[in-house]
Amino acid sequence: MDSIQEKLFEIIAKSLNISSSQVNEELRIGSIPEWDSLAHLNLISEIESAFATQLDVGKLLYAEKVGDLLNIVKKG
Amino acid sequence: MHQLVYKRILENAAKTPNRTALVRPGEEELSYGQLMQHIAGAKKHLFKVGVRSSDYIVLAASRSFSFVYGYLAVHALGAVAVPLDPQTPAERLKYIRGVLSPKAGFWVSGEHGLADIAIFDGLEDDDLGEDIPVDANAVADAMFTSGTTAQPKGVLLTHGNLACAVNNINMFIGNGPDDVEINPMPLSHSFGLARLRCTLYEGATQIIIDGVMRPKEIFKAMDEYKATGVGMVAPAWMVLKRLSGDFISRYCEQLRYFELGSAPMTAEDKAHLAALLPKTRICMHYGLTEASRAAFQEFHEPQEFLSTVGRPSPLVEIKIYNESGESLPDGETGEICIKGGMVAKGYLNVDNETVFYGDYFRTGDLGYKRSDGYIVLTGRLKEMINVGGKKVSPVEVDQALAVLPGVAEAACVGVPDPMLSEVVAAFIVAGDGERYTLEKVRELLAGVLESHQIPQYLIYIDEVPKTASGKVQRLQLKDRWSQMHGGAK
Repeated sequence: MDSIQEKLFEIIAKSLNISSSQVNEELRIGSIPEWDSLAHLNLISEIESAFATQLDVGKLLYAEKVGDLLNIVKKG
Repeated sequence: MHQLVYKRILENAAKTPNRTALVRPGEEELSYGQLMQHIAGAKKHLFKVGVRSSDYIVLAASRSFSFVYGYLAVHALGAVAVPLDPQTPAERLKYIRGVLSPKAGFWVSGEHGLADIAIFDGLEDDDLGEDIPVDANAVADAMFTSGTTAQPKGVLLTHGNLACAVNNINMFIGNGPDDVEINPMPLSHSFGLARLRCTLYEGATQIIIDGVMRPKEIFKAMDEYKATGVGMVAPAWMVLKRLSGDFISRYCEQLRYFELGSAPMTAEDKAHLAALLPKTRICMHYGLTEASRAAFQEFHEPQEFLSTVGRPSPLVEIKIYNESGESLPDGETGEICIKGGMVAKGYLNVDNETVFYGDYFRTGDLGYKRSDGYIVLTGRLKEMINVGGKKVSPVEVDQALAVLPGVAEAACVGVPDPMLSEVVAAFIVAGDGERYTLEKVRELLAGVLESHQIPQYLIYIDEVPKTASGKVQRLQLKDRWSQMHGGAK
């Protein structure tokens, strides 16, 4: 696991208040009770703040799982 | 008198059995004929386990076909459906079970069958009669919504209320049998459930989607099923917009209607959506679970009307009353009160005398009526917080916080949020021990409260402001939050 992935997984676990063992690239956005739309908005803001970036709307549109969020963060 | 909703759906099924009623993209589809068979099967099963007229039946309102036919079967038996979020915290469920003494509960998660049945009471065994008479004045749904008290209130909606609401809505929007609607809203919430009823009442097709967080699924379904309509609460649209920008404009030739509601939107946001979908009928309502879709507006109306909540829906009357229960003339601000066939008969186990002024339901919202009939919302009389269209009782959150070790007292208020209309801000007076961070409080309240009830802001204060009689002065806390320009998130 590289440092970006580690940091992103940590943010997701903390933001959704879930165990880090639940977070993996295949975890679908919104597939667990803790991950509702309010939590998702908070998470997007926290990712943007932690990586000092603005996530591209054109790419967020296609994000379905944690791995997709990781790609967006890595590739911008 | 309108036809009862479940009867009309069964009639549609008999007329057009091959038409598609429900779709879960990539998973399954159900024709009206199949829906009718499932309703009949569920009805027989419920009857067999002893469910009878007026019994309360708790249903886990998941986005599953089994919930839909279970819900309609409960209605067809003359029993009362109590649709709850499948994630309802244990404490809340315990309270609801305590006040209702429901006969049975159906907790279906994932599987599309009526498999997970919990029987709460001694049940009889009997044969199902041919057709069980159901009166329009009989209660169809008990919808639990946060009230101004600590505990949720059960809103009692009759079959007549549901039928009247469906007709008002479909008349304004212009729904028809050829519509294919995307519904990403939870069916445990009055908005999503109403969209389901409206679509099936017309014999149209409903596409059930798991929320707006994966926009690709919504747009893929729009392409694949050639959707003509979509319904979502205003905050859900704000989330979808955040995640997909102006992408929805690609469907400007395809979408015939878009229904929004449950929380306010700014005139700018309304105008923006109208510009993205210039040919779509974009209808936004003002209403409550207790008085569904009391007023409507269409976003292509002249800009000056976008700062209002629209005009009363067909067959609905709205009056403004002062605190003495006197009707006020146009232009004067008071409590918005609603009269119409869709207005609930009241709340479960509550003295409903105080809920109405005559035939007019008291919304607890403040506003005035313009001389042209448009209603302007100016504030809220009740202290309820509106998080993304879901009502939160501040007292309920206060009490959940107050039992945490190290919290002497707590008081919550709603503070503005650009996406969700409002979010919860908690003011805490420290007791003995360490002070909490917001993250810690959120962690401790997860599982105790529903996610939208959990505070987004945490501010420590020396004392909770109160009146001489001991009532929490929440307006003072709101002012304080405003002065802090965002608080200590």
